[in-house]
Amino acid sequence: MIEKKLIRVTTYCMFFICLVTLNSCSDDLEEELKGQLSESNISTESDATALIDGIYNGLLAGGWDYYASGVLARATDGITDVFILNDSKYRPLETYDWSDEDISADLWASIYTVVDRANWAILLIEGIDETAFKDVSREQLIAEAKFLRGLAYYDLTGLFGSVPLKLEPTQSDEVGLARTDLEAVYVQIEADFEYASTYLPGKSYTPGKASKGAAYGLLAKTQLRQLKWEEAGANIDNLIALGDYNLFTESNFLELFYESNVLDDEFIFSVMSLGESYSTASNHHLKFFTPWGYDTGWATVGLPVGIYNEIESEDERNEVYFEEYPYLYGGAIKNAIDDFGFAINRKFGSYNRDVTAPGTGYVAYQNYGISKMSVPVLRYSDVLLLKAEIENELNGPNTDAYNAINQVRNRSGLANLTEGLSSADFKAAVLKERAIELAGEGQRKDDLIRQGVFVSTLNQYALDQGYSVTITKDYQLMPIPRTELDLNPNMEPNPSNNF
Amino acid sequence: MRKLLLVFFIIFQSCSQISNRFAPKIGVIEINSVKDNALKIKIDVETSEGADAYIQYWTYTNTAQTDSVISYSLISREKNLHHFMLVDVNLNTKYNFNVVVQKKSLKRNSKTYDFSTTRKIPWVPYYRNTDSISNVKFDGYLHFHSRQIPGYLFITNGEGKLASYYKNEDNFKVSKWTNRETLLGILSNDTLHFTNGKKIIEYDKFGNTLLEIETGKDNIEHSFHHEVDLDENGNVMTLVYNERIMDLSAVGGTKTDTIKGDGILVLNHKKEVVWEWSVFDVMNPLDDKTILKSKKDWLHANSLFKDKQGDYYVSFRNISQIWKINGKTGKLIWKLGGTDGDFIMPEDAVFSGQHNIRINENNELVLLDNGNLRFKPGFKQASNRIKMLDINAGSQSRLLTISLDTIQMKAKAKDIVPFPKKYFTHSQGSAEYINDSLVVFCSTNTNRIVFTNKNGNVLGNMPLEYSTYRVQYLKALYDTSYVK
Repeated sequence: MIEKKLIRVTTYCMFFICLVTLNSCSDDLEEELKGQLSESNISTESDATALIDGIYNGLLAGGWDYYASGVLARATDGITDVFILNDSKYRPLETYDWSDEDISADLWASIYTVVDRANWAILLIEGIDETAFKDVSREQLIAEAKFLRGLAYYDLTGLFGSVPLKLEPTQSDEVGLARTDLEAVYVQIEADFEYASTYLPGKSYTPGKASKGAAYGLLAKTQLRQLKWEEAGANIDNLIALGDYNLFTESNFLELFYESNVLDDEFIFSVMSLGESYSTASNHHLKFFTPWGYDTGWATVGLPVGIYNEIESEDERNEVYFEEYPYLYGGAIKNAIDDFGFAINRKFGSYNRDVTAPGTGYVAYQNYGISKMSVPVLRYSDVLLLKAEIENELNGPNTDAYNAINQVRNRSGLANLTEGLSSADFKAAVLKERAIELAGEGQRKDDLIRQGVFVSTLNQYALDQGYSVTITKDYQLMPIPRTELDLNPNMEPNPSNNF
Repeated sequence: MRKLLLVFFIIFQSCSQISNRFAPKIGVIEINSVKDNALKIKIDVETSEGADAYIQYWTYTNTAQTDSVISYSLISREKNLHHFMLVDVNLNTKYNFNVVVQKKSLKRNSKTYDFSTTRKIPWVPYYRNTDSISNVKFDGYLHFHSRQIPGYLFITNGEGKLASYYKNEDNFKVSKWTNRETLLGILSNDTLHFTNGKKIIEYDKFGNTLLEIETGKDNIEHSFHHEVDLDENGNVMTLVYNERIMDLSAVGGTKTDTIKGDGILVLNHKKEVVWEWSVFDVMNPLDDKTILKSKKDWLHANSLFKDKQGDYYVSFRNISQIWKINGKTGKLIWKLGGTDGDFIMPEDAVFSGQHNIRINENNELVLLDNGNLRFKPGFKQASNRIKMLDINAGSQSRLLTISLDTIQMKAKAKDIVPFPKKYFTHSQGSAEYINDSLVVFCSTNTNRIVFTNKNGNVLGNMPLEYSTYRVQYLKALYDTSYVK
């Protein structure tokens, strides 16, 4: 009995303990998930400027593509009569043998990289709180991004015609877009440049940064592509009216292209290079316009004899374009036309490095990797010559037209253009002046197309050079890269894909 | 008796629940992003008093969701509020996770939740997203930096995916993952100079700043260059510039010429100088025939290492020499390489313009021999004609392991990994073994991280948008052996 009672007491005790345990030891925690992850962490002004710097960086594509190393100039001027390419790598481009559909593939990829970076920048900067901006406004940074996107599409349409218009950043491996109507692409390019011309400052401290003037100039060029002469004229006038730019007259035309003058206010927009080292922020441009035997250049390219022979003897630009050159080894005078079949164009070359490697011969070769040379995209002489052309197109060769072209001629020591020219003769004179002034700077192809002489001029050039090819309008556009056509089922080829 | 059975049943029931009931409980789990860093995930967890907790998180490696790779946070011990930071996550990835709490042998897992990381962070100047290292998978991580403004420190995993990054408004010149799992960097606000700056910063792996040392503050006058690391005591050791004004008129200079030489500075975390050494203590600039030419950057120290015995090794680029310095007295113990080294060097062990020196576990010297002929001992350019060409046109960088016989004073090249000529880096860079069959080479001049086998054959590479001074291999970011 006692034993039984004991068990009962024990069990009740344990029962009690269990009850207590079950109820009292449980604290009141209830599992629950809170919080969330935000999508973007970009929040400061320096984040925003880094995004913009990234777009500019894309213009040099690591130093070897797009505006760097003469790549774009080869695909534009290089197919015309002002830039001859005798390098084995570029010889097919020169001789119109474009059977390799990837002949401009690197340009396609590097320019779309710039588009994508600009799209990212616009999206992300729009998401930053306005109060984060102190040194520069949010609109100004977006305007820079839009200017650079506009420039990228301006170059893409010039090379390939109607292209896919992509205004959103790439976020996944979605299938590529189809072509957008050329007209719609131009509407977008104009919108980007207009935004840029509204929000960018009148003049930046450096032509390496997008500015109002650069936006007016590129907007005018976009309109000229569409033969909108009046609108283009208004924007050229806007640019000139800023009063920020003038022709380089401080010294000879040649010195405009010296490193020490990259900031001259003849340059409205340039792709600038920090020249930090061979592999960092250097554009190698100086290596791709001259032959080795002259200044250790890497390129057997230059100015074709036809256009060279049209340069008047008193023209100061003969310092830039010439046939007699001191041979690298020993300095004996040699003739470029005999040696290479063309005249040298030294706008971009080792000897222009008066800052990083002043001197000639070996002295100028050292520090090879360090060049602060720019790639000019828009110069004031280009603007003045467009002014002359537009004026003539709209009102005939009036005083304004003569005044504009004569400024450029006089700067190079030439007399005024013969007065009383017919509109057609004046047009031809402007075209020739532009060819000489801007050779190697990538303007000629647009000039020829705009004036309707692309086919005739280049057939003459092919004949002069002995290339057995008949140039048609189909040569105005480069082949769409084979890689793009293979990867993107929505993409259509250009006529030149079938060459 | 039936009553008794009922009681026992209840006792049994309650006992089976006791482990569940007694196991520490989990309350609110809060997950949040971190400002300015897309690859840091903050998780705060509330638990019962005095519990240990950690996060386990995983991704499935197949669509059937049967295979997964599990990662763990650090463990948080004996608390009721636990703060975790996940520092090893990749972009654009969905992770499942749960919280594990334990107290003695009682353990509880939370429900399984998930989070997805940011798809892309395009403002981070990273390497181009190519498949270029798909053949190079390894255990561990790489650390490197990006030399631009703003500056970034990176940690990538063995698949080349970004696992962590740290941002600073200034520009990282040099950086190092330390033996205390912190990150040290030399910072500068310019992008012009390659490897020197006026600020040292230390972050913990969660991105918190632990230490900032600035030239001109806290009685520190030197500027820092090329190397920063923690020694075995946790003190910061760095290379510094020492300027001396000397009469160089005997060799054609002025009576008060300035020579910029190198020094070693060791500082504790209170920013007090623990040890100091200067090249002027052991060498007279007037003994250097080329001093007038080299006085602006006399010997150009570019790497510093401290061995287990407490002695220092310094690499000097301009003379292609490595010095061993007594860690107590500062006396020069020996010089290796160059034109007046103390060791007999076979031709294959001769290095020039070297970087990234250290002593390995076999007591051998390992270094990147840049192979820059400009600094090669005794090398003269042949003629003017040859001078026209790039002196280093055929040069090759190598990972060099040298065994040193300090009795006979003989050096011997034990292992040589020659890198492809196209990745030659005339300046800067690093190279080290990841494992017996894999080598990582930082070719700073070509902006590439190159992976090779022991023979120097390329297995893959990561192109960088901006250069890094070096690349460092990390076995692990922290210890997770607490997981049983």
